Amino acid sequence: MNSPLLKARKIEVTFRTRRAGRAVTVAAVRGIDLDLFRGQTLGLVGESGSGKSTLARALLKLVPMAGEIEIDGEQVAHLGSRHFRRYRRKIQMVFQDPYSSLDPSMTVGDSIAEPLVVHARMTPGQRAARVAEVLRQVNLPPEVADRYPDEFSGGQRQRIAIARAIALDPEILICDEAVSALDISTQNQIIHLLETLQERSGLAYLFISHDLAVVRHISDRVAVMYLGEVIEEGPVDRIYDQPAHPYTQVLLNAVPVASPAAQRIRSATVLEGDVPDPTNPPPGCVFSGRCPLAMPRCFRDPPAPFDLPTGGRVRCHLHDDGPRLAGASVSALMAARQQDRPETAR
Amino acid sequence: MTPSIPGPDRTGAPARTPRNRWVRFARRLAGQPLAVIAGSALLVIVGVLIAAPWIAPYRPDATNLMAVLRPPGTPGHLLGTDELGRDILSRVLVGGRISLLAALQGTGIALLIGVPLGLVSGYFGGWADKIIMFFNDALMSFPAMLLAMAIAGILTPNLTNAMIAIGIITAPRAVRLVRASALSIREETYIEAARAIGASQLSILTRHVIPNILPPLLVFAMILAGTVMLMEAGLSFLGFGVQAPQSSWGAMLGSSLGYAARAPWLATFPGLCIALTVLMLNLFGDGLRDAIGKKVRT
Amino acid sequence: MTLPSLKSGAAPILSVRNLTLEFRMAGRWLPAVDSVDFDLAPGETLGVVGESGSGKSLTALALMGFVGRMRRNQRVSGQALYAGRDLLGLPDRQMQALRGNDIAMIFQEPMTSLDPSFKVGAQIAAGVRLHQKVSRAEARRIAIDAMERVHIPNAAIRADSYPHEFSGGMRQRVLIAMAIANRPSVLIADEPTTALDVSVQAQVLRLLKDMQKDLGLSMIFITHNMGVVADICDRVAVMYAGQIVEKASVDDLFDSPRHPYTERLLSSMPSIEKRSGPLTWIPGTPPQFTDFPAGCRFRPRCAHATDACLGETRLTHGTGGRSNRCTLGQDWQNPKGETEASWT
Repeated sequence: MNSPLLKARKIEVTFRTRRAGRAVTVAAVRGIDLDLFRGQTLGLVGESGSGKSTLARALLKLVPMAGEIEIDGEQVAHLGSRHFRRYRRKIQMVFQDPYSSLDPSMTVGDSIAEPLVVHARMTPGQRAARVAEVLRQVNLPPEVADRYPDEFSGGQRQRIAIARAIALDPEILICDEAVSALDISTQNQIIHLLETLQERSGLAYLFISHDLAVVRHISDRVAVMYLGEVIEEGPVDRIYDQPAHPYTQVLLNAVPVASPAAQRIRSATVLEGDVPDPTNPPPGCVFSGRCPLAMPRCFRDPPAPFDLPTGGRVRCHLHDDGPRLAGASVSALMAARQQDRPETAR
Repeated sequence: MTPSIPGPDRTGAPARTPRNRWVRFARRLAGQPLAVIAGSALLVIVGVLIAAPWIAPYRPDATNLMAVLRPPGTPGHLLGTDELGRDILSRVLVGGRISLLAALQGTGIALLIGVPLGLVSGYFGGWADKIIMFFNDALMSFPAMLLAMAIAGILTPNLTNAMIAIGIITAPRAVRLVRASALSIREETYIEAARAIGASQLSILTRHVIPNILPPLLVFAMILAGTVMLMEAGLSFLGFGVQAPQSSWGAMLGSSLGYAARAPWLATFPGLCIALTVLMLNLFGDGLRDAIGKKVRT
Repeated sequence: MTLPSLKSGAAPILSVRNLTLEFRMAGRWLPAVDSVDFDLAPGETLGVVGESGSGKSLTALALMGFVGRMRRNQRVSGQALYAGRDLLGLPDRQMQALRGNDIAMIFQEPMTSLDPSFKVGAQIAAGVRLHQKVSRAEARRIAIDAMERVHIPNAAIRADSYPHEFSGGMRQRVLIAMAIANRPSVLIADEPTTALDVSVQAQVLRLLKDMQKDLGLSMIFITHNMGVVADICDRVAVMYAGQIVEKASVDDLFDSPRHPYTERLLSSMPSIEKRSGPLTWIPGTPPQFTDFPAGCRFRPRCAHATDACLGETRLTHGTGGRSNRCTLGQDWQNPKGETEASWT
């Protein structure tokens, strides 16, 4: 594989907010490294509060962030907003809610043309032609350009949002829960559309979703976030078949599958507790408080990234201490632990 | 596997839907009988008042000491005459023109001050917001009429100055409305989407925020115009507004004070006109609000 | 006709026949829920699944008397027998006495179902005092007891917390505590885990299963998530466009769907266990109740439709407690047999 299209290093996002009248700082994204390759999809999964949406906004510099971003080999993170604008046309975003991501007071055509107005020197005629072209690419008739967003269903609006995002021919598309609000048939159509666009133009996707089945389908690589950190990253099949982090394992296990017999076995293991308070993250491993396999060391030292022989990286002491999985899947260990404590495995 | 090609998503949108949102807005407005009545009444009122100088039977300041304080129904004087024998119908028509003009002026000044401040306050927030809201709250905590009298009194008492005073003291309401709207629009995903594209703050403000504030602002302007008309009446009644020989509905009410018992019609007709016009403005504003379909606080 | 349920022998605790909910629009009565029949056996969980607009939530709301009553533009017909009484025909006062007492309901959005300005313990206790003649102190004890039952840690202390001080999963637990505090015999759960993260969803599903076992609850579980159905339901009714199109035990339904809609719905789910070929979908969009097609309502989107599908359809009952609305008959199976492919 050649060099990444987008290379993010040590991305940090810290919010200052008020809770119960006191000013607190929330480290929403903490030291994340990310590589995105041309024509590939990186799935980003995690539960609410894991910081996956904030990370997306940091990559677009929509929130104050620290760290390095390299796009096409150029350092862009330090650029002021005026100079960063040149890179925005390379990296576009599709949002979750197709009902609020389009301005209700603008026609569909004006919405799609807005990035062209901002970035491209085009005559109105050229713009209209481009709008018609991208509408065709998302399988909508060009006539819809004259209509207003509230005349369309959720799926159609998401197509419009995608048309707008690809109007400038970007290289990277960030999809933030872009199919989560849709019914399954519509969801699958939109995913198919995204796949078709990728085949055609070599777009790279950062596909953020809480739906692990969808992520498995669409991704080449997957990063799992927990409490502002990527705790595991790797090729999609390795992540799903041989998860190396206990959190990845329990997360995968928590997804109910559409097979009653299989599901009865899966639902035997349930992860207790909630995602901890991001204003006060644990000192050691972020997952230590809920980890069924936690060792004393996990509560003290944050684990360093460990390169897995099977592909990707994991942050977990099980690989360099204790049982020394040294890159093997964590599932066998979890299963053994379940048998040791039958009372929790009801 | 049945469909592999994502065919054109069945556009559920019926072709009959009008394209322009203002047209659809008007359609929904037309569905409300009360709003339609109020709207037509307003049109008639405005039309008549504009044409007043040509349709008034007498010159409004033409005195006739042979026919003072004639009751309504007197031949030649449909609504009667006042203490100087001036024709009340003519005075109501021409005075109404002044009242209308005053309402427009006052509302215009209030919006001119209030909209930019509200936008800055709501969209940008921060220190500007804190400062603007401090003065806003301070201004709103004074009794409006007293303040208007004070301002109008410091300036020379005439209609324009009175309307400036009213504009200043009603501007805080506009600030509040615009600020609240801008605050909620700022949180919409389409604003973030515009930022993600790289649109500048100014272009976000003009392309996204202002167009979405317009509908609630229109409703607000209607209702504010009614309020301003009442305030103008109050100021003119007290002598701070329009100065003789010009007259407005409020000024007519003021000068009728001494004859309330002997000639109640002097107060009745301008009073009725004010009440009717303000009522129609409010009803129409309510209709607009329902047609927008969003909550608008005024 | 009574359907044999899984817990055979037991008389159904709730028996719904011909439940129809209509809305009046432009002078016409339009059925959003159309002739829904089902029995709920004691201690069983009946899943009601369907996409948005299928009428699954409206069915529940009609049973609870939240729609169809006292409104000029809504009407409900049919029968819902519970303990010898017809819920649909019950006077409002009696329905109120039943609601929250015998039949409880939990909703999707745990935040909006709680009053933000009252402590959760007090809210649960208020529900208790509505239906039981107990002192304030006793009601509070029952409330804390219910909170302990749903595994809220430090229940006695947390009872004095406000809803916003709880996480989403904990709020849903509070709602479940509120629902079970009066020891209902039927619990209607309307997408109770849809707004939750998967790990929390798994917790809540397990909790509901435990509650059901401990309290002998019968449950109607409404969801659009087939995985959740597989996890918690004993029997399933699949709804499409206001009608039940297929009814079966959960194993039978996933094993061999007999209605083309169920089959398509199952086969379009992306799999978490392996990446299997391109995704498929049902063409078009589900109809709104304002324009349900005549005849079989799935016909316009169905790959197997014939002319027979233009006529009225009826839910017919086959062997093994299965029912099906498809004109192709009880034994229809997808000729290509692709459905079970991904789950072994």
